[in-house]
Amino acid sequence: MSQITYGTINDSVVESMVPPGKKWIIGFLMVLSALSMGVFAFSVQLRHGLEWSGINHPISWGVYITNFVFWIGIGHAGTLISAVLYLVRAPFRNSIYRASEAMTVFAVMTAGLFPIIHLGRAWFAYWLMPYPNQRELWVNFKSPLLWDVFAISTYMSVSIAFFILGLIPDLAAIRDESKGLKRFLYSIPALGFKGTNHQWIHYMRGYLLFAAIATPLVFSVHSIVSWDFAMSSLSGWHSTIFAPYFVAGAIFSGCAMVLTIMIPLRSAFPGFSAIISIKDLGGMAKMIIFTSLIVTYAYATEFFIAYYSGAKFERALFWFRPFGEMKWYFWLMVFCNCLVPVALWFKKLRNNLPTLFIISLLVNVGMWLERFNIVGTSLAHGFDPFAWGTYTFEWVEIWITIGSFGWFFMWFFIFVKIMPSIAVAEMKETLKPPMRKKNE
Amino acid sequence: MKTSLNRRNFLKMSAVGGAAATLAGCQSDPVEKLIPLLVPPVDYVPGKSVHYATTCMECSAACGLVIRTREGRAIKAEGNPHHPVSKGRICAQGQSILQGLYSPSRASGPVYVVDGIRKAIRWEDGISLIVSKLKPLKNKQGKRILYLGPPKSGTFPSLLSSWMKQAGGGTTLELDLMSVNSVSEANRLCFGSAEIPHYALDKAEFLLNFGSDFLESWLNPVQLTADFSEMHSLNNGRKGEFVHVGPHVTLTGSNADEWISCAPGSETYIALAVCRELLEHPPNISRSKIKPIRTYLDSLPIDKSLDKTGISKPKINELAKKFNRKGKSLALAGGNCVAGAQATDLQIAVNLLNYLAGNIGETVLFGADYKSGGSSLEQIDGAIQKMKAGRFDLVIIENVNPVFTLPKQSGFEKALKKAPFVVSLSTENDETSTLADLHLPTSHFLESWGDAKPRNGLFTIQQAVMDNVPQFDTMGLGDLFLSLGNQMEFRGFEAADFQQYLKNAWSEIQKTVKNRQPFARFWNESLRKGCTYRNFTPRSLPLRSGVFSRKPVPPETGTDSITLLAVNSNLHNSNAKGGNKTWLLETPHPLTQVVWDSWLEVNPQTAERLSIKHGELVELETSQSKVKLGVWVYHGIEDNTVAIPAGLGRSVLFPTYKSSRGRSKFIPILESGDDVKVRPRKVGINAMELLPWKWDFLSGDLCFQGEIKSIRSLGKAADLVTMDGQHRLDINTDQSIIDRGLADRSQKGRGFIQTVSLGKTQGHDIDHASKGHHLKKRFYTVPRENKHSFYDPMEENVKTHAAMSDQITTPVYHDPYKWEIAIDLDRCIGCSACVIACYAENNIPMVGKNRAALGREMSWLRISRYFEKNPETGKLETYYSPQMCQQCDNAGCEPVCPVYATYQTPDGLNAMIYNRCVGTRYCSNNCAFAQRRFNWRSYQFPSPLHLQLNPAVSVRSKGVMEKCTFCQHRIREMKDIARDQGRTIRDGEIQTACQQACPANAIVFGNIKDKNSQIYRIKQKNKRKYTQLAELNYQPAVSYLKKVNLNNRKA
Repeated sequence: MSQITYGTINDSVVESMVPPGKKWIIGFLMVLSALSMGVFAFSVQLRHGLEWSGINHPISWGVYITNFVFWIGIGHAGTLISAVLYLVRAPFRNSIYRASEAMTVFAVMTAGLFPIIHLGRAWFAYWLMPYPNQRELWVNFKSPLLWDVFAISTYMSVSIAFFILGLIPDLAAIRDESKGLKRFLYSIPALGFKGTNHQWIHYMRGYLLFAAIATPLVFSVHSIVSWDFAMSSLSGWHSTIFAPYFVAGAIFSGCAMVLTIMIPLRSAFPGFSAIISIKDLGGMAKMIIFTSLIVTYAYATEFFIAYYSGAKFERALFWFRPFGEMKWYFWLMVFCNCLVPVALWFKKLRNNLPTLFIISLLVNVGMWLERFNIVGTSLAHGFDPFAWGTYTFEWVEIWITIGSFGWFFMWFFIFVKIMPSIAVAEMKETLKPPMRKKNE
Repeated sequence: MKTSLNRRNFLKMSAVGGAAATLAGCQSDPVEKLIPLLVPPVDYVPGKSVHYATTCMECSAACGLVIRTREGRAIKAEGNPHHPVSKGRICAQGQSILQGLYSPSRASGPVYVVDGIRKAIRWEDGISLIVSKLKPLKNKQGKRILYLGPPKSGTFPSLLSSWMKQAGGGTTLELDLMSVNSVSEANRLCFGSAEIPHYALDKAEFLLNFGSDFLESWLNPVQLTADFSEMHSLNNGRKGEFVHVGPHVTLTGSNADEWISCAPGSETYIALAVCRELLEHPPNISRSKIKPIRTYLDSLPIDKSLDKTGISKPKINELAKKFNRKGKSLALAGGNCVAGAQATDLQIAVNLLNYLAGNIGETVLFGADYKSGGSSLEQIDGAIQKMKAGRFDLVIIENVNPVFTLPKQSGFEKALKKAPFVVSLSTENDETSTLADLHLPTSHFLESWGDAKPRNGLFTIQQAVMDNVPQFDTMGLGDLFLSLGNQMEFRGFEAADFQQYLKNAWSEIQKTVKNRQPFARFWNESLRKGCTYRNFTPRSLPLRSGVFSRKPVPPETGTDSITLLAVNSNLHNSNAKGGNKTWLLETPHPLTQVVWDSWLEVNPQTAERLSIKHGELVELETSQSKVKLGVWVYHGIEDNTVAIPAGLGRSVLFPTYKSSRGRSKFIPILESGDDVKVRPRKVGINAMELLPWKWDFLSGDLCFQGEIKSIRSLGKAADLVTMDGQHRLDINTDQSIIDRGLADRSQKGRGFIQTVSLGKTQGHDIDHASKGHHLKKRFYTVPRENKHSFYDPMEENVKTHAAMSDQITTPVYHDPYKWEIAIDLDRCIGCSACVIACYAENNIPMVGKNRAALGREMSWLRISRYFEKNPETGKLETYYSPQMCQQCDNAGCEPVCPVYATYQTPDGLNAMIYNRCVGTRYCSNNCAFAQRRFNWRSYQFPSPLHLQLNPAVSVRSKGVMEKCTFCQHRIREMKDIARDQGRTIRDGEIQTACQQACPANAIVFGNIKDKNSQIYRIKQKNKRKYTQLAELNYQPAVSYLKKVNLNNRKA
């Protein structure tokens, strides 16, 4: 397949959607068992309380909130790629945006579970919604946690709508290719798209509009998530740098996650390797370099401000992170987030898929640790020295974390089989239209 | 109710009500059941608490209690304000009596053991069994009965002795290991009166204490704490001085201004050296009296001994100078860490000190004759030998546990097995009662009648405050002996029940106290007040010359042997009664903060020599036994001395919550409802196993010192759980402390505890001391000119807050109430009585050791303990601060709650609505004081402990946040009463549980909007006032008053 044509794109995408083979089924079973671990652990937690999570006094937020921020962060890269890069017409976007957008939707679906999982009384999670009731109870709009409720629900609805909108031409194409029940089922989300000029004009307008709506969300949602922390008075959390720092971190981790997903996807379906070029992945790697620099700068700024403000509590905390008893989380984070991405400056490494994959995994680990550092160490070393504590991970939260990956990848596994994981129409746009030869 | 109802009156009224209920028909038919619900008493209102005055029998001090009952069951123990000794205060162990009343370890009913099979029997059968054993003894007069019980005063001892006499005679012994016999023995030798005198701590300006833990478990700690805080707190710019001499610093020693460390056994010669120095400054005693003392002191090797103690002459000089105050000083000695084989000699030396300083008749008052301590161990040992020889046919053991509390070497257990018939009358199933042939469980003292005479002229009534706890088939001790006497047709046992018997006895007491009212009225009033008393006549006694024949053994030196001390604390003592009470086990030990365990305190130098580290598991061997326990490296113990807490090692019934501690964190730990069962578990180590059976020959006090054969590190971490976190590394960690082999447990300059110093400024007003040159910059607050950053807190303008409440411009939100608390750190001694009062009042579940280790403790109130290094002396000083929810005006918890589960009430409290809480725990994160507690699971209150739960406070379930409420339910109760009477609440009508318990009177609660309230005065006027973490602008409602140190020094 030396040259990509409309036909090869069609073929490879359709090929990815044939009924699942052995590998897919084995993979899917693994994913399901991971998910069931999480479901089981959560049911134990519902029954017995947060007894077997490592959360304690004074570290009242732990792995669950870390997971929440981690997954929300992952989601951001997808929106960035599909919306922001669309608006700025970045060429490397087209081959990877569909999968990243799916990643966004699934990551937000995963992230949205964690605020509920971490509740002491998860069955009352609906109390966070402002609904009229006879008891005249209302929610507290001053609480950043409530802002979260709205930020996440807005983000989830917009990204799902955007995702579905982008799918319309491709779904129509699949509808046209299929017969019987399948045709009927695909005809519903395809919304009668026939590919007329008229429809294309409206479609493109709509897509642009949604891209414009989604773009600010990339920044606002994670800013609001960061305010969950920044609005408190705890040193290590109470910082104005948090919003940009978190957004950069989110994109950083999201891009790494895109690589973590795209590289296996590319090798799983032979046709994809021609479509998803190494150059496109390199584009992601460059995003990682850029955001890694921002994140590193933010770390340095936090330390500088702690020193420069002269605030004792800040200084103590930022001493505690690198030198206290939880220092390994910090140094591992610095290694993964600041040092490892330096390798990507070298084109050779950047274009080497195994290296890129390992780096992307390390960045994911690093970004998880960053969130854990922010959540855990700040609470461990609060204002009252008598109440300083430490954290040990416990089985329920470990299992639920594993389960969250199971949940996320379950959707992804389903996604690659029922939807085109590469945007067919947009890929075709980038090709030269196959015009008839002059002499024909 | 009258309109002049204040808190005290309210208590009185309630008590009257209660008493009246009991007495409704007392002329004809004594009311047995306190609240017979079929025919409720006139004042019985469901939902309303009724208070009964009674007497605490937990230790022999017999403090006055007021028990709050609701719906016929006791729910809270409070101090009786009418009691002249305890004055309305109560100690940690006193609070825990309710856990004795509702103890899951209580025996459910009479048990008869036939051929090793325990069989439940009926009371009548049990009694007739004893009667059958008594019948052959009755006519023999062979003295073949042994009665072993706790020290008792009042009416019961006379009943018992009459019973014993008519039953054929025998030996009656009182078992109590508190080392106070040496006090009375020394007084007998010195002054010819074998009594425990009244120590007027409040009258002393200088207190020299040789080891005694008078703030914890020695004599009456409630009384002594109250007097000590009077003496030692700042008053008109002056405060008393307290020097602690001894090998070990307990809570008492940590409250001293100076600790003089010395090897165990060398205290006597230090005291004698001070005596000799006192002679240099001629005291106010005639020369003829001084001469024999001088001759006596010259005959002793004082100089040589002093060299060995390592205490310099100038120090002795200084002590003598300070001590010489013409009757305004006081020397005390006692407690376990000086209870060696020469305990009485130390007491004699201390008596000499008091005598020479003219304290006898001033701060040491004879004539009080406090009832404390039990029989001499020589007698006990005699009884054991006789028992072994089969000289007792019937052994009766009542509510003491000698199998557990006596050293193994005493051979009590073996001797007991030799006794043909052993009857246990213990309320609880304990180590001794399980060996008895017949166990007839007597009622708890809150369920039965009795009385006590704690000192001369003071008679207290032990009123039954409730009917028997439903599931226990028990009988009052007095009633049991009456019915035994009745069946044996003894003389004087005709009374229908012990209450009647008591009344007859009290008609005699009425004559003693010269009360001329009709008896019914006298009895009524005594019941209401819980006691009747007249002051004792203080006597001053001359020194007897016989005492000069004593030749105290000089301290040994040059030995490398390590001495083991078994020490008491505020929570546990060698009588081990609190060893199975979960409140006492879960309250952190004030100095080490260890919970649910025993530990070994080791001096850092000793630890280095033995190459053992803090937190390591060691094997400790004495000639008696070998145990494994964790090491706590502690600066407050003399080199070559190690200490282990006494009174632990009992088996405790506690729910078997599962835990992942020490297991893989990847493998599920599952717990079904059936997995949580109430099972016994051994908590800690019985220190008595390690001690030899040895006593001071003069007094018969147990020798609490043992010799260590070896201490060997086992090379692994011990399972010690401590509740403090500040030992963790920090930017401000002081490396020099770590170099000394200790952890830096300071507050890292965070200003939770602030101090001022009095020194040369004695007599200056405190304003001068706190603002001027005496304020050492050891703590966080900085003056404006020294500000380095905008985060630095300024010295607070203490008046701002109170002034703000005057301004109309501020919203009139808090009207008419705004509740605030002030805690005087200068008074607080860290005794944790408040912590347990809070447990009892607010239904706080006990979480156990594993959960405490994970940071799952639920205590709403904790005592933060900090060891601060004094920059001048380099010594570590101990500070305590009670920390509860600060009820901030500008709280961190409130705005972050998404569902308004916590909000600001119009009274200025941070209310917590459990029902609305979804458990996001953000409030806990944003609480700078780390005061919120989350229910990580649903906890159990093992039956019948659930009967103690306070109906006014909801029991929280899993997933909700909780915290201190300032005893909101008490505020509510009083608000309702005030509203019914159309008035506002007056100052002092509401007391929080912690305030009410505090023996040192360190906590003041009140309405800051009330210009006449005590709290307003303190916040307006007191220059020592500060709030913690003021720079965060949380505006806490809890203010602290700075600790006042003398000369910038503290122990």
